[in-house]
Amino acid sequence: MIWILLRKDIVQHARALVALAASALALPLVFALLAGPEKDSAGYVGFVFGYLGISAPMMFAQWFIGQEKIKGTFRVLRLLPVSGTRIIVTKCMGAMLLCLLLINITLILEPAVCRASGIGIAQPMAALVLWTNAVAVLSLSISMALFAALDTRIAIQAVIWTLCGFMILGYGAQRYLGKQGFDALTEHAGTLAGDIGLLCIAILPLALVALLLIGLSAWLFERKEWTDLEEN
Amino acid sequence: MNSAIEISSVSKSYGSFRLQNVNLTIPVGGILGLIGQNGAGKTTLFKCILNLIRRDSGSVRLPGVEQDLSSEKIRGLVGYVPERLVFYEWMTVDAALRFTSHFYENWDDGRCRDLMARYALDPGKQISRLSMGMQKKLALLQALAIRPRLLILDEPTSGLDPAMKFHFLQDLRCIIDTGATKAILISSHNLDEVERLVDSIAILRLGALQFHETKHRFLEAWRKVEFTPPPGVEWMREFKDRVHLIAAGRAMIVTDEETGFLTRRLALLGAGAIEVEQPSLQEIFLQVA
Repeated sequence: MIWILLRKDIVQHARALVALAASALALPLVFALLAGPEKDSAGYVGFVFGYLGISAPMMFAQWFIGQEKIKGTFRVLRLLPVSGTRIIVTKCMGAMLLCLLLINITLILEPAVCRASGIGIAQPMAALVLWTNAVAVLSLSISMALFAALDTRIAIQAVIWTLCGFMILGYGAQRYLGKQGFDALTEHAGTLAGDIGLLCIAILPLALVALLLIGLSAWLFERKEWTDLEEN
Repeated sequence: MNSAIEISSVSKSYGSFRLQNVNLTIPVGGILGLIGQNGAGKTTLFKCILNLIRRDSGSVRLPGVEQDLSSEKIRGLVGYVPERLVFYEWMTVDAALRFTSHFYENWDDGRCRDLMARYALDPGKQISRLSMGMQKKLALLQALAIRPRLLILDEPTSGLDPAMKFHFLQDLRCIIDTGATKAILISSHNLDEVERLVDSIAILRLGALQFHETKHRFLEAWRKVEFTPPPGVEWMREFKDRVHLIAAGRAMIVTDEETGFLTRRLALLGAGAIEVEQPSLQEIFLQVA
């Protein structure tokens, strides 16, 4: 069933997905242009992390759940002899698969191809790649839960304002609290992120939270009645 | 007689609306017409049967199938055509059918192809480009291709042209006669159609089941007294809530009471050309709904 639903979602959002994939595949070039050749891999990972680890999962949630809610087409799925839980879990798995595929192509395969073609991007550390994957999974489950729980328009607003909030906070902290210890803190966080041991400790709770959020999305969808699924 | 579906004490509240304690049984080989005004609770009852909304109380049983049917299992056995159709409109007819077919164990490809030819559906055409009538045909095809034990049709012929309506009603009778489907539950505002097709009739009024009878017994219980109204308005006062004025200076009263007293009273008031006939379902519905 996962393939049938995933294929449907891919065909339905083909144009948007191609645009996302094209922009993701262009990230190394954009990074090389912005940062110059032979820049550190941490900078590149940060670049990919912001785009594919945080923003892309929200786009997937909007396409895979938000659009079905807006158009009322969840009713097509609800009429099928499949439980709501299976539908949501399948959609989450499908979105996760595509998202992780993009991240790992961009972080592992592309730098290697770039280096082979003379664009100097260092291979990212394994720990940073894994952190990006873990955060993407968490970010995707948060987004799925948000879109399952809220009206799509409200969920989009919530996502946009949360992202803006983080960006403003980050900028403000760097600008005004840099010398008060924020720079040291980010440097320390960077060192910690490279620690594979810490990642191993964090991965289990992260996976548990993600599972709980996907379960919550499925539970919320299961509780929705036919009339709640009509176009809004 | 074996029953195809047993609906017991189903209740559901929605704000101020309440579907109250509905009990219905359709025998194997039966077609039940569920009629009622808009907002009477017909669609709510259908959704309760399919577990598309949670029932406050009551149960739905398909005899011969395990007792405790999960929501998804019941949807695998019951074909449903909702009043408000919903499709992935970007899909072609063929893609929509292939997508749906993957979810049903009992999907019949041969039947699907036959119906597609019969309904003249172009498999390559995008659903958004289909007329309302063609979309209705597609929904019917999807419901019939799963060889359902029970078929629930909510206003199935709205949007169909007269020839298509005729063929569709014939098809319904045919799928019951051949045993392809055990029973049909149909709701329609076209009461002539219902009268021609069904074996039994249920009337819902404000969420409560008012009548549930075989068509023959139901129609037999009612009489129509047609007459030329007497001059003046005196008679109108006496029968004001029961009388319907019809064309050519005639009036009628539909009643399930003994007509002897009524005809004598009308004659006494000066009514002429009094005739007692069996009313149509439409005429009875006007009286009871």
